[in-house]
Amino acid sequence: MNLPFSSDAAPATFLIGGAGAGKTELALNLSVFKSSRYGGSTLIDLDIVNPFFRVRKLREEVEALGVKVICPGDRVVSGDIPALPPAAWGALEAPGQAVVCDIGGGEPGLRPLGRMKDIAAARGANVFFVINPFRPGFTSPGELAESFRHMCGLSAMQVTHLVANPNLSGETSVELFREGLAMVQDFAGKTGLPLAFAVVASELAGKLGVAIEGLPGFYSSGDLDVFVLERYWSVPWHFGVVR
Amino acid sequence: MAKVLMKGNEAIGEAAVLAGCRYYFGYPITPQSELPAYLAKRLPEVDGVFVQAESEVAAINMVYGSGSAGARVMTSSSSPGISLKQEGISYIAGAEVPCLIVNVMRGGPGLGNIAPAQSDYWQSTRGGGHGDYRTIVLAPNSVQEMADMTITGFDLSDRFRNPVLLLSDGVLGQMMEPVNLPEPHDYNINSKKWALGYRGSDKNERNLCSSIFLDNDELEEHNWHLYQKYQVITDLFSKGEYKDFAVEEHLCDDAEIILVGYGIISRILKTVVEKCRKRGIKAGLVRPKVLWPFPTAVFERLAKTASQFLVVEMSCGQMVEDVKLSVDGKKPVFFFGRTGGTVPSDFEILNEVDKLVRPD
Repeated sequence: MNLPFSSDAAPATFLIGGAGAGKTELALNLSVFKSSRYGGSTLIDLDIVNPFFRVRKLREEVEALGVKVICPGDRVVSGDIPALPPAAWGALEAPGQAVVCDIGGGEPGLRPLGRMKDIAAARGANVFFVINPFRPGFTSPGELAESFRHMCGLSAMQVTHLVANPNLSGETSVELFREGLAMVQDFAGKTGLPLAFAVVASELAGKLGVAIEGLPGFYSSGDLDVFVLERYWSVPWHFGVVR
Repeated sequence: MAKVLMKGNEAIGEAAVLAGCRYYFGYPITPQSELPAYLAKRLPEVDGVFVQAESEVAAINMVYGSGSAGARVMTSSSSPGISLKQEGISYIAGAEVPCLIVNVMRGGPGLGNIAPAQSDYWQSTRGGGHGDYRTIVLAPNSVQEMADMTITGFDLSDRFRNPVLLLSDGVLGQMMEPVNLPEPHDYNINSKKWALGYRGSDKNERNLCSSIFLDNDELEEHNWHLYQKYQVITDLFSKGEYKDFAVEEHLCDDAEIILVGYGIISRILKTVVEKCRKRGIKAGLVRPKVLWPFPTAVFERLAKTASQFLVVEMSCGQMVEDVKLSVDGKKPVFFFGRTGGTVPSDFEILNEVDKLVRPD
């Protein structure tokens, strides 16, 4: 598959969007995918918002897969202070290495990105705005448009593509996925921005008719490009939902 | 209403709005900051009031004032911030003012860290402030319950004219799950005859909400009145209409070892119980959903059938004391805890069970 955003031998990719849009899971998967495709990649953890579900928590796991992780130094790695790792700038300036930047969601997470606006433009970076239309603030066309406008302004980045990530976690059905996807496609039509791909959990991919050969990976589902995820978060409380 | 994918902190915020809460006063602190952030945007949409106070102490006193005026009002914080609120909570309990207080626990003592913990059990259930008072303490274990118990919390608070504490932790606050939000409640701020400014036709005297009783006899009378109210609440939760709400049992009927945990730990313990059963170990789970009043009767009953209890907490051992008091020495009660922000894995808890049931 020759997707427009991956034709570059060493693309830089910024993932922005609302809190809880699925950026971190996507960043982990994209960086692993790029590592296998380009023989290495760099994943930059710029999340200064979410205290727990951050790339740095899985550093050892993804580094074993050929991904170099850049995150705040050891002394502040478990903190909630807005410490951006200086090595991030070096990685973005260095040619020849695929780079994925995971940004904290919402207003406080996006604001520091302004500092990277120029370097991203110089690098010709792809800026993906990730949308889950089942998250508060994105559940209607009006809300989605307003949140998009507001968050793009905060980040000071020029969004190049939209990414659809319609899901209700483990309760995502094919019908729900298609309903959410249609909303993002409609929004893409209104903005004129290309929809780069849709994110699909591996357990849903089969139901969408996707023949998976390896995870994570890009596949086709009809005329839709999908990126099928490997689940890297494994949490001890996942099983026992008490109702 | 269609399901949405929400963080626990967000679910509390939306549920509060749906419960008729129009006043929130708080101060940011990780890992609960999404809650005030959500309400800062949401409350103005429903003509509500959001104030980021200058401190937690100021916020809890704003809650005191708004609750006294009959409003459904909420504040939230995480452990160190809840410590700061304790004086105000004591005043609110003394003056019998309803309100909902949310604690999204993090590691302590002191500044600790921002990771999840359950080490505020004593503070929550014993009352961290001064005087003879109690707060009703609810312990959700899912994002759905964060929403549901927020609404229940407001209802209980109004019914008993008592502060209710929603005790969650950083994991529950930050994790995302699908939520079915309830329908909005109608709430009339002028429905409480005791409240300041009540304008009912049958009311001519001014109301007063205060916790000061300078006369010894008056204060003693007030304290016994509060005590009797707490007894009524305890009875309703132990054998009355809230009995089933207060506790959840899972596979306890034939259990030889009872695992006990609240909040996020209870979900891990459910996994452990399933794994134990597959290995032929008769394990069961007791999950207190209400921490005060503590569901003592369940432990009294199970102490007759089970051989031993294992309490698991993200602390050095706090709720285990209530379990021991309830079991009353009839069966051994063991403890396993992780602290400092580490959530124990099902694997390491299973190891502890193995040590107890297969000591060889």
